[in-house]
Amino acid sequence: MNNANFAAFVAAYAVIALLLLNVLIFTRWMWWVKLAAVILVAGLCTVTYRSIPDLLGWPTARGLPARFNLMGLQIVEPDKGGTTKGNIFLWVTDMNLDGSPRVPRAFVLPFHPELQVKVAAAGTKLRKNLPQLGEISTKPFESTTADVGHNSKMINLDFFDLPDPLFPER
Amino acid sequence: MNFGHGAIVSGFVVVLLLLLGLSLYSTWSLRKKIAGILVVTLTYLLVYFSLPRMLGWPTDRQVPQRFNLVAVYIQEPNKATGAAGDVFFWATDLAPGADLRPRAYHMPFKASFKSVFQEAQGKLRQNIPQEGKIELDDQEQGVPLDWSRLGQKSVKLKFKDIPVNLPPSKDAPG
Repeated sequence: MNNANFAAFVAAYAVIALLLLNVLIFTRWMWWVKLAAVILVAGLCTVTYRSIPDLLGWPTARGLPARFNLMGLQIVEPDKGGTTKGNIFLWVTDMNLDGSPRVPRAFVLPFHPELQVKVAAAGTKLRKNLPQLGEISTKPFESTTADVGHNSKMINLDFFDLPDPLFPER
Repeated sequence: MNFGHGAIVSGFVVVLLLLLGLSLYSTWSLRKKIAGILVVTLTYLLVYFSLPRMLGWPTDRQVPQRFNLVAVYIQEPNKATGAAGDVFFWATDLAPGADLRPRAYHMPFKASFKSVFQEAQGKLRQNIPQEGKIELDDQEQGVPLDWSRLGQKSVKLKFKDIPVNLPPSKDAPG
């Protein structure tokens, strides 16, 4: 995770602290209102601080790298009743990072039958120890998104076998 | 307590209330009040755009006691770079009523973790689902070499095969 993202949260806390300080100094509120504001802000800072770890680890729908190394996958098919539209979960490392240790990141994509076939095939190869390179494809799906009931933007992917790094090409 | 997005949204609301209070009741000049509004707006945008970048990365907290292993990625320690090594795994919580989405976790590299995870990974590749179980290690470990780890409890990790719900055999009675 990028430290800049944490810095943004720290900056947000600093702004809250500054606002509170100004409320305490420059307003003519009763002392108990000011005390309540201090308690409220302290409580909310604690709660948000404790909430951020709850958000970590869960898959995100944004920021899938253009090229990635597939580490894991899980497919949840839509149910026939239409209550669940289905999702495709991918666990990937970014291929574009240079040298730095690769940390896998979890993503969720809307379910599409064509994507399901591609991802399932990549998963089968992955289980056979054939590393899979994934790429965001510019080609649209043959069937329309209306068929699968998702309103969000569909992402099409292509998968390729990665050469085994232990045996470099001559 | 798990608040997630709700807590962050309520944090935003409190800031908004404070700003409103300042704008209405403080003795600030108009310029200062406008500057306050601009700073708060900028902070909102900063947090709004930073939050999605934090999602999806593995967490080292709240590893479930029983989980269904989906995938594993092990980075061994590197003496050249001084990297201590990491074990990343992707799993779904098996607790009743838990979120069914897989969640990414991180654990510090340990030789014992590596061996159990590698064994479980091997079985996953053979299509044998793996249930992980974490237990507190009651054995006395002595004083840690790294004092910052004093008070931390070590855990034991075990995997077992999850029986696959196959359709009943045609020869089965009934």
